[in-house]
Amino acid sequence: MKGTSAISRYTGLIALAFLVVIGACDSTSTEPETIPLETQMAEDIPADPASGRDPTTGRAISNNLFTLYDLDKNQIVLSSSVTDAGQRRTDSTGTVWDIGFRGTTVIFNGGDSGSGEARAQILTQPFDEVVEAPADGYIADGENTTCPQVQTPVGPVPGSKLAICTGSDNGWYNYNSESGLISPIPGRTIVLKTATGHYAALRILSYYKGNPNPPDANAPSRYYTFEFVLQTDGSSDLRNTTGS
Amino acid sequence: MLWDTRHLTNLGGGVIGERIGGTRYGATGTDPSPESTQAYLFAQHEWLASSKIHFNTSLRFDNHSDYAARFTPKFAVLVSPSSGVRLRASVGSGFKAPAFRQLYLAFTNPAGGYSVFGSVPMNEGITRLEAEGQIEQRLFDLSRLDPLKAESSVAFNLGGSVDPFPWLTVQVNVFHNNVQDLIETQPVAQKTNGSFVYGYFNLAQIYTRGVEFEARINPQFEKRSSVDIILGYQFLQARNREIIAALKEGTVFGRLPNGRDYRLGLGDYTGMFGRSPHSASVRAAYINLAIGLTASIQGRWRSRYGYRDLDGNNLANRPDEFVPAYAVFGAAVTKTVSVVRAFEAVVQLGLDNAFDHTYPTLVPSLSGRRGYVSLQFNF
Repeated sequence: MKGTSAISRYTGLIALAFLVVIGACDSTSTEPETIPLETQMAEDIPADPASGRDPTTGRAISNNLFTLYDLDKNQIVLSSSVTDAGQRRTDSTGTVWDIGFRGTTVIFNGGDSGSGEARAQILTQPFDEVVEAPADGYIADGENTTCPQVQTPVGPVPGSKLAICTGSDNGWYNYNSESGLISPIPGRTIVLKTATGHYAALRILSYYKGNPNPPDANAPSRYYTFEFVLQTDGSSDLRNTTGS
Repeated sequence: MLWDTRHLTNLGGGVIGERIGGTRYGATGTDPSPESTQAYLFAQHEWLASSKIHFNTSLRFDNHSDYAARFTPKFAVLVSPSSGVRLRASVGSGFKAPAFRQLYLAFTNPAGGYSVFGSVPMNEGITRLEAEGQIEQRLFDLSRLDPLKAESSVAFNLGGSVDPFPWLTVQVNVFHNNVQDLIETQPVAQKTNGSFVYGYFNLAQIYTRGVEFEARINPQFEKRSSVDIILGYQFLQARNREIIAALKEGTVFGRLPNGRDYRLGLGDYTGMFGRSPHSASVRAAYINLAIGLTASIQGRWRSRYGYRDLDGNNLANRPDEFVPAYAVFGAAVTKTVSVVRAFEAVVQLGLDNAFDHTYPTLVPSLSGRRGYVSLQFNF
C-alpha cells in the first residue's frame, strides 16, 4: 500500500509540473496571476504622545491632535506633532488618509471624521483567519449606534458613535487599572474600507514605543505598531491579489 | 445570657472611630484627614437540641458612615450521629468593608495624567478638576451616585470529620462562596489630556468553590512522647462570572509572546489572579515531654497561579503571566532545660524557607532562607 501511494504522489507531482509549464506558457494571455497579499507593518506611529509637562503640576501635556495615516503608501500623512492649523487643514483633505490615531481613539476618513468613504468594523476573529472582508457591517464614524452603553450606578450612558467604540473592552483595547497597561484585545481584527473604498484588515500589536515584549506600561505610550493587509484590486479577498 | 442548659444567647455592640492621614487622601492636600465612624450590633443564639444536634444562629448589623449599612445573618447545624463522627452544614452571609483607598483616595498620576478618587472625595475632586479646566466631559451624573456598598457574600459549607482510629482524624469540607458587589475601578470622566478619572464601583460577581481535606495523625508511643502529623490539601476554583460568560460565548482569545492569537475555552481559565487551584501543606512534630524536646518540620506548596494580564483578555493565559508552582519548607527544634527548681531555660533553633526558594520580583513577600536562635528563661 505504501508503495502505491508513493507512486501516485509521484505521478501527481509530474502532472503538477506539467500544469505549471502550461501556466507559464499562458501568462501572456488574459488569465491573471494570483499573488499572495503582503502583510505590511507600521511601527511606532505617534498618536498624540506627551509633548511636554505642565511646569506647575508635572502632568503630561499633549497636543490633543490626531495622526493621520495612509495605508496605500504605508506612511504618515499628518502627524499629531504638527500644530499649525492651516497645514493640518490642507494635509487632511480628500482621500489622502485612511485611518487616524489619537490616544486610544481610532478614526476613519469618512462620516463625521473626514470627506473620504472609509468605514470600518471590528471582527471577533484572529487577523490570520480573516481571509475575506465581510460584504457588510461597515460603519462610518458618527453613525455607530451599537457601542455599549457605559453601565453606571446611576443607569446607562450612551457610548461613542465612532466606528470603533471607545473605552476599555468596547473596541480594540483593554485597560488594566492595576498595571495601567493598555493592551490590544487578542482575537480582534479591524476590517475597513479605505478612503478610496478598498478593503483592508488591520491588527494592532502595541500601544507602546518599540512594541516591547512583554508589553510594558512604563514605556512611552501612544505609539501604535500595527500590521495590515490591503487589497487594491477592488475585491474583498484579503489573502491573494490578482495583481492587476 | 444562659436561658437554661440548652439555650445560650450572646448580645453585643460597639462603636469604632477612625481617622486617616496622608497626602493621597482627601480631595485636596489641605483637607482635614478623613474620619469615619462605625457602629455594630450582634446577637448569637446557640441551641443544644440534643446531645447529637446543635444549632447556632447569629445576626450582625453594621452601620458605617461612608458605606451602605450591612445586615449579616448566619446559620449552622452540627450533627454527631455517633462518637467519632461529626457533620457540619452552614449558610451565612458576610461582607468585606471597602478599603481605605476605595473610600478616600485622591490621587493623580503625574506621568500617566489620570486621576483616581475614592467614593467619598469623588464629587469634590471632579468639581475641582472641572474648575481647573481639566475635565473634557463627565461620563455620567455623579450627584445621583449611591454610596459605595461593601462586598457581600453568601457562603455554603458542608463538612464532616471522622476518627476511624484513635490516632487518625480525617476532615473534608466542601465550600461555595458567592461574592457580589465586588469593588472595581471604572472611568467616570474624561480629561482634556485624553486620560480618565477613575472611581470605585460595585461591579463584579465572582464565586469561589472547592474542597479541603485534612488528615491528622497523632500516635502516642509512650506516655510522655507523641508524634503529630497534619496533612492538608485544598482544591480551589476562584472565578469571575463575567469572564466565564465570555469564555462560553467564545469571544476570548489570548496573544502569545510570538504574536499568535488563539481562542480560549472555559478549560483554559485558571481562575482569578493570585489564587492557586491546588495547595497542600504538611506539618510534623515530635514532642517528648520527658526530655523537654519538641522538633517540627513544616512545608507548604502551591500550584502555579496567574498574577498579571499582558494580552488584554483579563485573565492569565500566557506563560509570562504566571508565578510557577513553589514549595517552602522550614524546621524548628525546641529544648527545655531545667536549670534549678522552677527556673528553666528554653532554647529554640529554627530555619525558615530551608531551600531558599524566592521570587524577589514576583513574590516579594516570600523572604529567603532565615535561621534563628532564641533563648528564653521561665521562672
